[in-house]
Amino acid sequence: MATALATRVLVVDDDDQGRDDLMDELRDYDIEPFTVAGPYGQEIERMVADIEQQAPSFVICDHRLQPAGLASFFGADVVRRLVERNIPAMLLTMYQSTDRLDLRASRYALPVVMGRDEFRIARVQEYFDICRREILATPVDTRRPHRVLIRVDDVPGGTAAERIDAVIPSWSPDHAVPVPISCIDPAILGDVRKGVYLLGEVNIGAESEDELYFKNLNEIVPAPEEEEA
Amino acid sequence: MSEFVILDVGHGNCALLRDGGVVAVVDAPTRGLLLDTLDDLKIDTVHSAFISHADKDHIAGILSLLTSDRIKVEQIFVNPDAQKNSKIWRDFRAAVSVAHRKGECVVRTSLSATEPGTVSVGDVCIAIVAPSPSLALAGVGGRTEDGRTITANSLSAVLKISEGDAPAALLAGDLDEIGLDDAITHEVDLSASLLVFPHHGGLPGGDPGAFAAKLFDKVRPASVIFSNGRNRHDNPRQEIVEATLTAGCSVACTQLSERCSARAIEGERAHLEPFRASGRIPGESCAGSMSIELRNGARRLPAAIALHTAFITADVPTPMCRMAVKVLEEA
Repeated sequence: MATALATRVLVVDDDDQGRDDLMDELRDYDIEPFTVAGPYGQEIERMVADIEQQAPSFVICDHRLQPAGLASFFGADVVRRLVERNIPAMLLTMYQSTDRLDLRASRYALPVVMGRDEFRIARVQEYFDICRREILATPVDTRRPHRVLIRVDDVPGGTAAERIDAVIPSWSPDHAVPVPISCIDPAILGDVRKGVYLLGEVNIGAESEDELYFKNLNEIVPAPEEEEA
Repeated sequence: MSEFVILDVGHGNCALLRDGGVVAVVDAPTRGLLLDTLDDLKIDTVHSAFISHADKDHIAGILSLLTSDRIKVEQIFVNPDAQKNSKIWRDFRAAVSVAHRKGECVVRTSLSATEPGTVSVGDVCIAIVAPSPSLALAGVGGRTEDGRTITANSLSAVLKISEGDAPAALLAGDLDEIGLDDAITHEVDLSASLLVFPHHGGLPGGDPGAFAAKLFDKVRPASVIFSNGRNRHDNPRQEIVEATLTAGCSVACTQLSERCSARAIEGERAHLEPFRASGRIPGESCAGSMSIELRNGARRLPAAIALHTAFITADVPTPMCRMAVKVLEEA
């Protein structure tokens, strides 16, 4: 695969100071930064079209765009739409912990999600490559999906649950992970309870919990004891 | 010609064997390295999978093989571990039921010296040399005649892999002193030119140096591989490496021990073979994944050895494999 460079980077951030700082840093690395003006209100397609029109090689998008009024939608939805249009894009956020469940629900569509404290301008090319490989359908190992068992260890809240607590034995048998109910196929939701297993696609090469995504959780595997009974 | 690769999976074991279009896999820990490697090699069928024993670092990766929608497993060999009420064993049973429902996998619930005894992979013979049926029947939690408690490691299957009359490679799983004593009592021929050292070079449940010396006395390997993870359990143990060198064996570790290099060695790793290695990107591989020539007597490729040796000389500050020892004279 030929090496491509992120030479023109578009920054989406409602916070003027944060955006300008990031653009200055990009210039230090001989990367041409630019942005979109807004405000966009609820018009996410208009923002995406504005971005697309500027033909960036890479987009760095803040997650919460509402506080300073750039838009009323979230950056995760922008990144997802851009990647669907084959535009490499990553998400930047300082709310990885508080928005963990929401981000996990759409993580499969977000090649790179980076906390502001761990974001390194020197690694922009690496972030870009991860996004680009995903668009080319040759994802990096940490993003490759595999159909695996997901053990349901708890369903906090019962029928009103917003998440299950699950273990992915072939990723880490000793690590429970909250999985949003929205990741599970509605057709099987009624059978999801503590002790059963789900089958779905998970990137078991992920290095950390925040990198995990869940997709096509659409099959129930009964607990072994139930099968025997 | 057969292909036989010891994969760098970090802490755990995984070996891949292919000959004449027939594929076998022995053990796999967590994460996707085995599945990704099978994809790389365009392998969509594993004809035989072996689980040496039911510890997480040997079985967890087999679960994803059984549930994969891209790879078919035709048969799997495992010793049923009735005493083991662990979550991973329950997970394994669920994965087996998935494979069973797909109607494509036969589960062979015995992996001992008599059943299946041997399995052919093309022209390569896999002989199960341990555990003995009597030890297997005693089960985890049982007692040996001298009162020692049998663990999952005691029952770890040991596989001897050879092509034609050439010397073999021995995959020792997590064999411990009880398992080794059982093999010795049953006068099992453990001799092999290459040994993948049991338990990743970690503590064997007794005196590590004495265990290693006893094992080397029976196996008499020319070279020893440690399938270790840099960030787990401080393997291989220094006293075991020392015993290995004292026995006159060459040493190769999949990953860099922290005793050999306090820091990971990042950058271009030209010495690594062209197989996936979990330590490649973070700079944690030492030899990484290693291919083994079976036809010529279970040896690493000379060119790979030369590059690995040069890497150690140039980049590894305190390699345990270079520690000064007095090599024992051949008896």
